[in-house]
Amino acid sequence: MRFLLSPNVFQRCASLRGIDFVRFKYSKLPETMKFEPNLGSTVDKSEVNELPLSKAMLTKLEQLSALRFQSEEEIASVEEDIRLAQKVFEVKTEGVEPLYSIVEEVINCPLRDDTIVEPTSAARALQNAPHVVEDFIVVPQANIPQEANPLLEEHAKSLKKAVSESN
Amino acid sequence: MFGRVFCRRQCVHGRISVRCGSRTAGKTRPVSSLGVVEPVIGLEVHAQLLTKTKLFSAAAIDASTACNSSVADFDLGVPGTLPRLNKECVQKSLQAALLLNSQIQPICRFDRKHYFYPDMPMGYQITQQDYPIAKGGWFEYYPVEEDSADADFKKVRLHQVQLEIDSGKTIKMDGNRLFIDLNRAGVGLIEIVTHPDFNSASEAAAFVDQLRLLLIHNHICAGELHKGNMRIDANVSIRVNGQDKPRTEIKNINSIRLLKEAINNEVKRQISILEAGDEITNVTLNADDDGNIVVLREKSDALDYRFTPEPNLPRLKIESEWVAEAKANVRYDVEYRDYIENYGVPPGLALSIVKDDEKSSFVRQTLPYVNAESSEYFNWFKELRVICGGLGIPYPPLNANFVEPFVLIVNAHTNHVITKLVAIDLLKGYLKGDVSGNVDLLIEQSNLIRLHPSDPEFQGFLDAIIAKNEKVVHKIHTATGNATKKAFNKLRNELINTSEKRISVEDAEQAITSRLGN
Repeated sequence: MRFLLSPNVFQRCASLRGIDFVRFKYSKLPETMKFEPNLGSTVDKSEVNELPLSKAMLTKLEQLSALRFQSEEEIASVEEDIRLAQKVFEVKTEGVEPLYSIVEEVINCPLRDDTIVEPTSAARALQNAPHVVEDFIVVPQANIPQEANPLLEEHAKSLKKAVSESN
Repeated sequence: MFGRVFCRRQCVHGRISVRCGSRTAGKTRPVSSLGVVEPVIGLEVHAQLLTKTKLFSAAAIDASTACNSSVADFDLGVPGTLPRLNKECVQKSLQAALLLNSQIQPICRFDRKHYFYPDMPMGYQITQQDYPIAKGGWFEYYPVEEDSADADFKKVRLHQVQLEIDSGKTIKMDGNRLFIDLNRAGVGLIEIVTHPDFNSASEAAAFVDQLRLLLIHNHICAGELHKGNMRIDANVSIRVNGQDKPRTEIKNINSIRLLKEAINNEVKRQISILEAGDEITNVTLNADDDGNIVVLREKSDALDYRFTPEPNLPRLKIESEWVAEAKANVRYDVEYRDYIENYGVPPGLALSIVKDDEKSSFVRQTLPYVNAESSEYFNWFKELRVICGGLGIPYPPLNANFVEPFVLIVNAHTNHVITKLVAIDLLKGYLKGDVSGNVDLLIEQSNLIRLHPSDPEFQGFLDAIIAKNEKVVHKIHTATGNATKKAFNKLRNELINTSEKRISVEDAEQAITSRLGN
């Protein structure tokens, strides 16, 4: 990539951090063509700020990740991670363009020529598949539990107890 | 259930008249005890792009290849692999955007749409949710049933055109087992999202049919729905007395027949729910191969797709050279529109010709060279079918040598050089192979030229016939009703036969009538 060929270290670092003050050879996007930040796809901030996590939110996390909370420690651990990550929202970002990709200040999305075909084979594609029938990958039985997780019910109860005790 | 409705002011077809006269109006407005019920339908059409390799990997796209043999490491979702965008896919989607009058965006971006399913190894689909390659647009289509004569087109507005990847194929085996083939995983698709501008299943079906013809013509998509080249999701709701009701979504429709059935069934289902006094809920339905609609999920299970920008792909700036190249390669001259707009062929007939390779080839070789009105041409086209049927020859005739005689014979008839009956005989002769050589020369040499009433030969024949058939002439003068007609026809047929069909039916009838003073 071009930035590796820049004359000095300073320019290279500047390009990595997306700082604009060094002029590069490739055309930069005019101001009118920047993306407007799209907040529609991000998680509703008010939901995330609610710690400790509600039973509904824990259930939703289980559904989205197809995982199960196995113990109280795991729930506490996730909440700790969220508390840590939430610090990001404290940064003031008004007037700053979101950076979606490190190289986007320098290059356009690289395009590949359609005529060059990569050789592929079923043997290679299936080598890690545990169960194959006539070259089809057989999906293992679904192991996503459908019933409610009893741990979450207990967790909610102990939370309520803790809240009422402290009052 | 479906009654004929007279549109009062501005009907669904946008025409202001008491009776809009469209045959589709009566067919599509359901009549219900709820009042005026209007189906409201929007479509999401997924069309596979006709490129050699997939959208983000260089694995070949080959429909005939063995199961799981065209899967690159990236398509498998192997950690450490990265997407590499296919230039030809971008080019083809720019062409599609131009054809659909959609505004090409200066920059666009890929997003991840997360959900778990066995045929999607990565756990997300790379799509363009927020910043698609083109926004807006419209498509004009003829809302016809086959063979209908309605020649007005309708315009459907488009929401956007976006690039995305296809998932693999899941086959349900007995015992609830799922078999996965990832050959299709990663193939580039354009998703064309329409506004809910359709008011009937047949309109939606006509749109999909004509869109597919346009895409095939431009080599953007192979267009075979049954092979999975195009799949449709339909959003269906009803408007009762002007009030919109909640909509439902039918996913994975893979044929036009299924599209019509599924939409009609869904509309009926929604009407019966409301008639029973219940509420319609936002369900998502799946159409299986037999046309059965199965509930996939209720609203309470609403999926959170957690759209995030694809971090491995910088935003795509559309260069002006690409747009110029797309403009140079785009072809608006789809065959069926040519027939409808330049030759005045009814849309239903134009579409049925275009879809049949042999008919299409025959018409293409003959219609532009015939100097008759296209309606006259198509009368001969139909006549040819009768002739071929009688002779036991495939229709349309596959013999390349027949094309020129056909054109010349039809022209000779249009120019009044030969009569219709002689023309039919000549067509039969050429088809059977009894006759060959230049048509015009043949007509002259075999004395087939039509006789006009002013010709002395014509009058000669007429005199002879009348002299020979005194009894028949007498009958014409004296009898009444059907008997007169029969006698008249007998005389007419004799006149035609003696002249060896060189007198046309109309001329013969007129001459006899005026001679006998009836």
